[in-house]
Amino acid sequence: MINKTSKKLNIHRDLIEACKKGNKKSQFEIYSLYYKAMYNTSLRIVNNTFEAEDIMQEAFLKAFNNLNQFKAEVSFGVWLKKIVVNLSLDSLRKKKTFFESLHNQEVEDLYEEEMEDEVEYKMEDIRSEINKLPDGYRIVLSLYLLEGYDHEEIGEILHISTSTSRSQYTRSRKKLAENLKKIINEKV
Amino acid sequence: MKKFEDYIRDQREEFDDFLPPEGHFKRFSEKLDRTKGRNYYLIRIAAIFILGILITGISFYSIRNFNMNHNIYASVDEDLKDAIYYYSSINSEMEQEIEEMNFEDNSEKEQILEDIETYDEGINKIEQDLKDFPDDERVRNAVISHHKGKTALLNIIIAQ
Repeated sequence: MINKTSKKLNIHRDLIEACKKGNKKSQFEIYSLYYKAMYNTSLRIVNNTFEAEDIMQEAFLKAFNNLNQFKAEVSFGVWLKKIVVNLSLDSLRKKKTFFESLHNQEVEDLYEEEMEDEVEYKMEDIRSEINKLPDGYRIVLSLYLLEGYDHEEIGEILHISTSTSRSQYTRSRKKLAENLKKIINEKV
Repeated sequence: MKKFEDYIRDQREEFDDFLPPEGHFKRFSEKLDRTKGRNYYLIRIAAIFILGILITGISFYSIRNFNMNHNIYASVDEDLKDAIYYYSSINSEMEQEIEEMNFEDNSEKEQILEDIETYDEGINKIEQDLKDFPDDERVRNAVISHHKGKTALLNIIIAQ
């Protein structure tokens, strides 16, 4: 099991070793493998196509320059994604928009309502409505639901408490569901 | 009935559907080239800086002319020998690694190897001083500093 996992983690080991040595062809190959996922991760945070591209590419360059620090304890994709997320958040921090909306939220125990509604939404509506959420909502929801971070990790990344992350997520999920219901009602 | 979150997670791949603006491969290639140029420039600056320290050291010790003729390390104590051996081994491994590296531009590699060679010439001169002044603390420190300096330089080259 361990061998299987480590083998999976080292899936691009040869390519990564070549990247360490500055081989441009291998660096390009790694870029081709990961650019789409990394671009979408950044886009969900910064919500701007050109900025997301710039951040995604900077993340690759930063990763290539710091490959000696990559210890393969996690997969390369997970390591790279962390760089993308951090650079994207840094970019938002400079604008201060996201952090105002996030830190002004009071920490409270929100009722965790189970949204057991039968899903009848279209994927494009969900994607579009996620993009329309305020920065604070969109980022926590994306990190938790789509990037796979738990609330503890989100707390560390965003410098907020775990409970703030949890309550922010609950609010954003509720807001998203409300907006999606509105769309369905308008269509009916 | 399916939970909203499960539904989104099941369709996770569809959320990575957007593509960067057209021409992103070309722009990335240009950024890669610029970074390589910048990195090489930094390596050169580091090399010049370390070389500067080296030349200053050599000038200081070379003004003394003694004609003692015996092996460089013959009169050197064990501690210093161990330290020199330690750094020489590390440096030798790193040099080997650099020699095996694939460079896009071979002239870049040649230039780096040439810089290392120039650095080694400096070390040789200081070791000659060590032969002449085995007990001089300044010479002993200079020898260690040079080996350490080379380790730092090789580390920078490999990291970049």
